Formats: sequence, C-alpha cells, structure tokens
Amino acid sequence: MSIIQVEHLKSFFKTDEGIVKAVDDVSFELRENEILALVGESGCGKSVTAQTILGLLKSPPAMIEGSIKYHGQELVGLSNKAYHKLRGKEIGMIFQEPMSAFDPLYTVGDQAAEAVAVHSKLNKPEIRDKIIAMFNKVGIPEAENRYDEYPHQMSGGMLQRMLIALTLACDPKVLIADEPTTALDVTIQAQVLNLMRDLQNEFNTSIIFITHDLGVVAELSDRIHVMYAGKIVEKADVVELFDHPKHPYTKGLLASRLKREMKGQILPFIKGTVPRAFEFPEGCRFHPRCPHAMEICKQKDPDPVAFENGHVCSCWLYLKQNKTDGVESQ
Amino acid sequence: MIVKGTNLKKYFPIRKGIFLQTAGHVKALECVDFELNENETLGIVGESGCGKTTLGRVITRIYTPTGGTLEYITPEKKLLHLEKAVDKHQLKRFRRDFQMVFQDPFSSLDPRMTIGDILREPLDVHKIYPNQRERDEYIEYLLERVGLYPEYTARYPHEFSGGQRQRISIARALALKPRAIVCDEPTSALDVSVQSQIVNLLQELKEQEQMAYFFISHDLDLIHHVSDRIMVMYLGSVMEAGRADEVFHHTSHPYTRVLMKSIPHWDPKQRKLDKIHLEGEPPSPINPPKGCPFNTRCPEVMERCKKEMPQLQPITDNHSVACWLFDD
Amino acid sequence: MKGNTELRVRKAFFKHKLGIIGMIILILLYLMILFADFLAPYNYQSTKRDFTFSEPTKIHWRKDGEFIGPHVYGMTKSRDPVTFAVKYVKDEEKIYPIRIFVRGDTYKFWGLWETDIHLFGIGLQDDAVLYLFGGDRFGRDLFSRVLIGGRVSLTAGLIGTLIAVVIGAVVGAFSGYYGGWIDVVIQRLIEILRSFPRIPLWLALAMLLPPTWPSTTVYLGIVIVLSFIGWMGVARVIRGMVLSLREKEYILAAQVIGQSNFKIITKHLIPNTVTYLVVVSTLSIPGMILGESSISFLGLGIKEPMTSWGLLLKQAQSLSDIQAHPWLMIPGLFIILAVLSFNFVGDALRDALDPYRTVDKV
Repeated sequence: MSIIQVEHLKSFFKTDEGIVKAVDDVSFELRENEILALVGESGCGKSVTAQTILGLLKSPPAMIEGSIKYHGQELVGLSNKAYHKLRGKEIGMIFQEPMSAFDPLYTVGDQAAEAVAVHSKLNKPEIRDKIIAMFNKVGIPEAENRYDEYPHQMSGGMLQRMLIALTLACDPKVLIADEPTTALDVTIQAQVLNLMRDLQNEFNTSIIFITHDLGVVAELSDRIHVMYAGKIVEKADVVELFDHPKHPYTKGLLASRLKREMKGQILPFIKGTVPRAFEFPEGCRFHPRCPHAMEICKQKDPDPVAFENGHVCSCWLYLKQNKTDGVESQ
Repeated sequence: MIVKGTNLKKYFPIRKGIFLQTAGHVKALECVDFELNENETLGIVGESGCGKTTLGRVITRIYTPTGGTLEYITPEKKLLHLEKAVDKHQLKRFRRDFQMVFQDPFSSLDPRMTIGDILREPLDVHKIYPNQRERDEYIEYLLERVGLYPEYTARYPHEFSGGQRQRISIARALALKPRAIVCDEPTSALDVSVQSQIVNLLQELKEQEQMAYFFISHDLDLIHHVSDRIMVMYLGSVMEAGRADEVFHHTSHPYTRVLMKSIPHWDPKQRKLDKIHLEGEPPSPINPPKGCPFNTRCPEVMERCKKEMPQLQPITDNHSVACWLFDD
Repeated sequence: MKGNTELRVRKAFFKHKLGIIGMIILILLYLMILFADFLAPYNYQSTKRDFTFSEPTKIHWRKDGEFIGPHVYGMTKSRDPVTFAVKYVKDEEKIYPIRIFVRGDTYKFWGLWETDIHLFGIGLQDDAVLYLFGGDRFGRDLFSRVLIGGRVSLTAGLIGTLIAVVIGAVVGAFSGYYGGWIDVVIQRLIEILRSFPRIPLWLALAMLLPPTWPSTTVYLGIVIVLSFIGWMGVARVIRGMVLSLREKEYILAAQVIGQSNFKIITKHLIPNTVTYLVVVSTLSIPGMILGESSISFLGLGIKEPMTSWGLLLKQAQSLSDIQAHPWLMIPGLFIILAVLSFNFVGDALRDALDPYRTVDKV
C-alpha cells in the first residue's frame, strides 16, 4: 500500500536566467514501512522533490504542477495552515546540517519540548520525560544533563541524533531525510544509519532517504530511484539495482566506485560535468555524457520502460530493443 | 627525501578578553613524525578534527609549527630548517617546490580574477617567463594539461563547475613545476561522477611530472587507491602508518579496524554496518584524554592505555602502530 | 557572466526610484558647482553697499500689461522714517532686461582664462541687481555664493570620504589580516577615538588649523579633519570582512604560491571588499558634508571671503535674522538636498549590491 503517491510532479522556478526545471515530470510512490532512496548528484532535483512534498517552496518563484497524494489527500495547492498541521505530526524531516535546525539561543531540551508540544496534549513534565526517553533511545549519553545544554555544546553527530529523536517523538508516518549523514564522519555515520534502521523497524515509519552516496543506499534502503537533471532515470529495488543496473548513468555511477583491486589504475568515469539547472540539454538530459548516445537521444526524451521485478528505466536503448522484442513499453 | 617532520606540534591558542589573553590551546597536532620521498604519494587519512588539514598546512608553512622540526632537502641536497622563522629567499624557494590543491573549489579561486590572472600570479611572483608571450603560451599549455580549453583564460571562476574549478586549481599548483603537491581533500566537494576524473588527472600528472603528493582525505578507499604509504591519524596523533597494502591487508590498530568497517560496502546483500559497535565520539582536542587518545572509545582498552601514550612502533618492516596491544 | 552580474546590479539599481531621483539631483548639483562661475550672475566676492540684505529680486515679464520679456526694475534704498528699517523702493521707469551671455564681473574660468561672460544677468548696474536668493549683509549675491559655496561643501565630503575609505580599508585590512597584537592595538585605538564625542573632536582638531593659513590650505585641513574621524568606521567593517575572507582558500593559495603579505592584502583582500566600499562611501558622504557644514557654521572652518554652505548658514544664526531675512536659510535647503540625495543613492546601491543576492554560485 502506498502512503505517498507522486504523479507527474513538476517544480519549476522563475529566475533571471530563465525557467529552471528543477523537478520535471517525476512520478513515484512511497510504500508502507519501506526506505525509499532518492539518489543523485548536486542539482538533480532530489532535495527539491523533498521540499515540494513538504510544501516548503514558496510560489512564486516556484511553480508546482502535478499531484502529491498523502493517504489519498492531495498536497499540491494545500494551504500553509493545513501544511503546518501535516508537517512534523504526519511527515517529519531531517536535514543535512543539524546545527541549522536548532536555535543557538535556547537549550536543546526547550526546543525539543516546543516541537513536541505543538502536536501533543501532554503537560510540561510529561513532555520532558518523553524527550529524555527519546534521547536515551537514540543513544545520547547522560540524556538528563544534555536536555539543558545548548546546541553549540554538542557535536554534529549528537545533534543529528537529537533531531532524529525529536522528529520521531511526534510519531510521524513518513520521515523525509535529506542527506542526514553527509556532514558526519564515517564512524558517526555508521552509528546514525544503524539508529535510523532500528527506529524504522520499531516505529514502522516509511522513509524517503535522499543522498548522493551509493554506499549508504546499499546499506540502508529497500528501493532506489536514481535521479539525473530533474528526472527519475531508473527505479528498482536495491539488490536488483546494484546487480543489474540498466541506465548508462547508473552504470557509470556504480563503476566509478573505488575497488581495492583497481589500486593505482585509471578509474572508469563519466565524461563531462553535471549540467546546471538552467541549461539542461534537449532530449534525454544525460545524452552529452552518455557513452551510448544515439541520434534519437538528442531529440526526444525517452519514456520509462518496465522490466520484471518492478525495475523501470528511461532510456532509448531499451525502447528500441523492446519494440523489436515485442514487449509492451509502459 | 624531500621533506621530513619530527615531533611536529601545532597548538592554536584560544584567546579571550579585550587583550586576548590565552585561555587554553586546541591541540591540533601532537608529536607527528613523517617523511615524504621523491615521486611518492603519502596518504593521510582520518576523521574531522584529527589534525590532517593542520598537518597539510604546517607542511606548506601556512602555519608555523609550535614544536618539533620540519626539514626540507633542496634539489641541491641542501638542508633547510623550516620550523622557525625562515630567511625570505629560502622560504620563497621552498614555496616554489611545494604547492597545494584545496578542498573547496568554490573558495579556492579569487572570484574577482580571471583564470588567466589566477594562473599568471605564481609565475609573476617567482618571475618565471618575463616575456609576456611565452608566459601566455605556458598558461594555455597548463590549461590544456589539466583538460581545459586554452580559451578559458579570459573567463571568471563562477563560470565553471566544481570539477572544472578543481582542474584550474591543479593547473595553478602545477604552474611552478613543484616537487610536491599537498592535496587537501581534492575530490570530496565534487559530484561522484566527477571525482574519478580528478583522481585520474592527479595520478596521470604525478607520473608525467615526477612529483610527490601529500594526499589528505577522510576517504579510506581513495587513500588506498592513490597512496604508496599511508598514515592514519586520530586526535592529532598518528595511530598507524606504513605501506598502503600492508595497512589495508594487515590492519592492526583498533581505530583503523573500526574505520575500515564503518565504510559502507556498496553491496546490499552484505550489509555490515549493524555488525560494528563503536560507541561515542572523538574527545575535544582542547582537553585530550590522558594516555592513548583513542582510549575513550577503544573496544580493547586496557588500564595502561589510560595512563601512558603509546609510541609508533614498527611491527614489520613497512608497518608501524601506536598501540599497547603490540607492545612486547 | 560578469557582464550579467553588472546588468543585474544595474537593473536592481534602476528599480529604486528614489535612488534615480537622488542620482539626477547629484549630477545636477555637481554640474552646478563645476560651472559655478559661469552660472553665477555675479562674482561671489563683489559687494554692493546699496543692496545689503536686499530681498530676492522679483523678476517681471510685463510692463503695463504688455509682454516685454523678463526684466527687473531699478531700486533705491531708503529707511522707513518711523521704524528705521531698510526698505527698497522700486523705480518702474528704470527697466533692466535679463539677458543671456551677459558681461559682468570678471573671473578666471577654472583658473585657466579670464572672462566676464555670465550665463544670465543684467550686467553691472549701479541702481539695480539680480539677486535671485537675495543679498547678504555685505550686499553680496546669495545665489552666486551658494553656487560657489557648494564647491567646498560638495567636494570636501567627496574627498574626505575618499581619504577616509582609503585609510580605513588599508588599516582595516592590515588589522584583520595580521591579527594578533597589531589587531588588538588598532582596535583599542579605534575604540578610544570613537568614544570621543564627534563635534567637540572636530572642533578641537579644526582649532589646530592656524588662522593665518590661506583658504585653500584651510580647506585641505578641514578635509583631513573630517577623514580623520571617518576612517574608523570603515576600518572596523573592513577588518570584519577580512577576518572571514582570510580563511578563504584562495588567500591560503596565494600564501602557498609565495605571494607577499602586502600583495595579498592589495591584490586579493581589498578588491574583494570593493562592493562594500562603494556602498559605505556613498553612505558616509552625507556625514562628511554635515561635518564640514558644522565646522564652518561654528566659525572654525572655511573663512570669509571663501564660503561654504555651512558658513553661509552662519548668517542665519539668530532668530531675529531669520525673521527679518528668511532667504538666508536657502543654503540649508541645499545641504538637505545633497544629504538626502546621497542617502537615497547609497540605499539604492546597497540594495543592488546586496551580498545575499550577489552570490556567484548559481
């Protein structure tokens, strides 16, 4: 069963440089109790997708089209007030820089209490107990004392755990995590990823996990959607994607991984650079960097092709093949 | 050998009050030994706050070390001591031989200068190519060398992507034909698909120009890929050092082992992060723990670790560890 | 894209209506002082005893209902037999038409060549004047004096700011770049100097200027006094900017290349604060103009017969003067006009160059 259903979502921005098609015709669903990873490089639209779902984009300059359904409720065009009720309580969020989520002038405990109080009817001591219990759960040592400390007295890893605790204290059905471990060291990242896995199992939360790091995705997610230049180019479940990548971009990303046996050798790479959002190329947006680019790729954007096991890939390579094989394209 | 550091220390004073009295020290480097040989890559790996960036800046003499010795051997085999106030001409000579590539491609190029100006600066400082035409030709050659078009000289940094800027940064470091380049996280601010391009470029240049690299990164796999020898740092000290293969295949220090296990594996069928257990976080470098700096988190901590600091001891010819577990 | 940035800044500036109005007024004011000798119908020093405190001359267009062009009538000074107040009685028989390019007092145009052509006027007459803003107590033309006085007021502000910004930028950059005790000493010094009340400090410094100095030297002295106070604010802010800029990797890169500290400051640090310097300059000119006016108003600045707007206002010091000769306040209007215009232009520039909108990352 799907909790969030995104269909033909477009988030465009009007700027001096022209219209930026940050997210262009993206469709996907978030199923119950799963971790869905949106993977891509800078400017691919993964964060904008998240912000659109959370209703954080102001329009204008943003122009949003398409549909986002949360439990059947349409979110596109929802009023700020309605969104305010939804955020935190129903859909929680965690960002890359935990420091910026906290106000330096108040203790972490006060801020946590404020966030919890918005959505619950508990009295003050009850809230305090609940937050300390949550801090303990996310592995914060001496949670009682930490409650009365200020954000700057805490490390990035600690703040990120607190943010996770805080978000989960409101018991959201969906958690959107935008690069939550990118600013952390590997050993701390491992701790936080473990924590997220455990909590997801315990609270039955569905998570949209946004990252550029395929290693993190392999450790954590159930399904993966690969984004490039505002579009989803490939969808598959995690094992399938790592074992049988189909899109040339996904293949390129997976190949660029450093392998021990390749020491000192020339690494495989994707030529060129990630295009900026206001100069996305015509046709398939990956074609200038694609090793298999054909004439058609420069002219028309490919439609998604469905394979078995829910594997979907938007690439002309398979569209041609499918026509000759007589397999129905989606 | 090009450069050798012995017992290097760097403390940053914490100042308070209107007359900036010293209220304490951030102990960024604590007794670090290293040497860098001709045409070799020495990899420095560690997490944030381990002192790797400080070490890179001490070596390039952006920072003056607080203690220890830093010796530079000129191509003429003369020995220069760089740890104290250095003669201006000698320092300039050293600067010519020792260049640096920085982490953030968005702040390492002056936004108000054209690419041509940026590449011209080192040549003008050292008065190489007084002939303007020759100099401009050399600048165009440099740009081609790092995979950019020579026409780019008239453009400004913001017209380029992160990867292209990092190439310009490399061209600037290359301009003086240095003997060694300190690379401080040269790929970590770049997109995944562009990182390998830069790594390949650096590797290629090293071979063709016969340079040495002092390669700083938090990424163990990357360090293994590029380095001949590596040093693992934690809280300002070296935990483990040796030939890259040795350290990777016979990982000895408990910290290095944890670090290795913490890297995600890119294999969803063999998830491993839930199998590791490393509690807590690195202590503050203002008040480092007594004894071994890792003792607060070490899974194999002993009484001795909390009292005495272990020294870096060789366990095989090409491999040394600073840990009491290996003390016979 | 540098071109693009310029275009964007220009666009943002021209969106600011008050900024444009200010800009136009400033251009007019500076054109006015540039051609002041030519625009003024009289020499600012020439006195006419018969026309002391004469009120602004009325310009007439018709004679007996018939249009004969702009002209003024002859005047005779007399005293009211009861109140002894000075009165000017017009003599409608004597008609002096206002002409353009008329010959009058001789002056040296831009100090280069001598001429006696004025843009407009009635020529030199014994019994008539064209005093648009009235006359002062020596019977000099206030309009001509306002034009000439603007030279001092408007340039003192400009040059004073220029000196202040240069000193402030250099001191601030050194203070921020070197840090340590250099920074401590400079910052404490600035704090002490800034804690002095402004006007008494100006006055104290202005009093150091020997009264025997010729006007031009006094003028330079005033400018230096003004910039002596003005640089400190600039230095503080530039220091703050340099503190954050010096951690930028391109500054480290310049160090690694072997660039000298002096060149790092002049080639990399100061140019990167230029947008700020432009804004701060525009916004500090009004303060300088007011400063010069205050000093001159209090009689410690520019001396007669040289003049400035502040010195002109000095004549309007007492209430009875203002009551009897309200036109003496006109120079004050010019001060207000110039100060407001600079403020508007400064605001517009700041909005246009706003660092949060000029991020070079797209």
